Amino acid sequence: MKYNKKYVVSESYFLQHIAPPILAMTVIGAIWEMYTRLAKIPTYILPSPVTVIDHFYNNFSNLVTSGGITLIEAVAGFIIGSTLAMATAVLMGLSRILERSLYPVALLVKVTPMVAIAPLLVIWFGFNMIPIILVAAVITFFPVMVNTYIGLRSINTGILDVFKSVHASNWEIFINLRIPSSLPYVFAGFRVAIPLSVIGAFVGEFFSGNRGLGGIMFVAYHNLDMPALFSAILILAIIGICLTVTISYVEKRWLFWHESFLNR
Amino acid sequence: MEGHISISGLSHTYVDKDVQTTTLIDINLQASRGEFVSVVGPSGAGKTTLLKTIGGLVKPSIGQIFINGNSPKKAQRFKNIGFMMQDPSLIPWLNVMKNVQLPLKLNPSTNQDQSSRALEWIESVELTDYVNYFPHQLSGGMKQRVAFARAMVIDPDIMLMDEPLGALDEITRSSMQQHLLNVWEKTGKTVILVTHSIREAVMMSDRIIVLSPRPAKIIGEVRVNIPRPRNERLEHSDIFQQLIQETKKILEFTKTA
Ligand SMILES: Nc1ncnc2c1ncn2[C@@H]1O[C@H](COP(=O)(O)OP(=O)(O)O)[C@@H](O)[C@H]1O
Ligand SMILES: [Mg+2]
Repeated sequence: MKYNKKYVVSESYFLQHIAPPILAMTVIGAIWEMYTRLAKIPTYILPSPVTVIDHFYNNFSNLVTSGGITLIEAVAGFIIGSTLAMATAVLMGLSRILERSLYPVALLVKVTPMVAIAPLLVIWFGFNMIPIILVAAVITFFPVMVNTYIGLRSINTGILDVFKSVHASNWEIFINLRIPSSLPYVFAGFRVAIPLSVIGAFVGEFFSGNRGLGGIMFVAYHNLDMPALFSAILILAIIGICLTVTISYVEKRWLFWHESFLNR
Repeated sequence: MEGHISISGLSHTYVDKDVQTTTLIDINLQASRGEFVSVVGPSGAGKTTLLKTIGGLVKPSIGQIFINGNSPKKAQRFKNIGFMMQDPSLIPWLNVMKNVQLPLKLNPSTNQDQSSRALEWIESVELTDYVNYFPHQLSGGMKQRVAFARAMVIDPDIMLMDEPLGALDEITRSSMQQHLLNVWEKTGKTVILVTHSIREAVMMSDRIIVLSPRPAKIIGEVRVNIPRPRNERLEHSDIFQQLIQETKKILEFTKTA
């Protein structure tokens, strides 16, 4: 298969793309370390990298367990939110009334910071996983729904004519043309929604105060435990990066034919 | 009746919000079974629109079209129409094989052996080595050949071709012309070919229909009484040049009028 290029990490790739950011981070870390030491900044204001790494190392299993909980909540919310979003977009494509009433609302909600509903949901559903997954699901929903809806309508008219010229049914057009055509838009929605779902899970946990990385940060915040805060942020960042890399990988496999992946 | 096209009193006006574009006026045209008819005319005249009304993709404002005595919609249902769009319109996520099979898979009629039929046509356009390739891995000429195979795979009675060779370079173009001619001579399908190349029209067709600038009316018809099989050498003959001049004259007449 010619299209399925294997990316080998060659020496020149390492020098060009991997070494520079590592170098940059090392330099920043070193300056930061020296600054906190020389200026004698107290740890409760700004911990030195070494202090953070030390805390990270000593609390590794707790951090990873909490990170796992946050990850599960974020992914569950993402899956539930985007499944409902895609279903709604399909229904809107089928029904004019639904489209007229829902789509403008969705466009409005999409640009509001939905994460603000987190405390409400925690009060309503209690201090467990449910409100947290719900927050992640709700903020995933709108970008995925809007993008899927646009995607389902973005079909090439020439190809549509090919379908019509043999009298393909609307169902055949939907399955064989609309859905595949929408995928680039759907994935663009996913890429927006993934970090949002992590934010949603985190904020939900923060208001719950008793679980996941949000819980750790809630406690650490009230104790001014800066190394714990930094460690949790680090894990959150790693979760966000890993999820984005995963979705980009799936996207590359499925959308190899799309303009955005050609000529690369 | 098979492969017969009859168009009478056809007019079409596009209505797009409050803009009206009259494109076709009182088109009357017959094509009999196995006839090769070319349509030439200035760009923007309404050639694509004419082809789409025949193919049932655009519903004309006025007039009647019959294909094998049926409406275009019914002809679509029976898969009587092979349509080659102005650009290849291949499906980017399907490979060559699946692109060519698509018209068999959609609106499935009989239990045709899809893969062997598709493969026959892929062979005929000399793309056997490329069955697993995707459209973005093909050249312009190869894409058009896939589009041709895809239009032919349902074995339609009529072929509607909208400037299929327009985007190709000179050499690819003339070899594709020969290929089309060979296939046409073998299969005896009725062809309506829209082209902006008068040379191509004379080379390929039995009859050339000349359209005026938009709104398109039929302003002339040229019969091409050159025996077949034809090939490139014909281009140097007197009769070929005469027919080109004759067609050009009709086209130019409308520009000044
Ligand atoms: N879907 C459409 N809606 C409105 N106007 C159209 C549409 N398609 C084509 N037209 C107009 O109809 C005219 C003829 O177009 P077309 O049939 O594509 O011409 P040609 O193929 O001869 O170049 C043009 O003026 C074009 O702008
Ligand atoms: Mg055209």
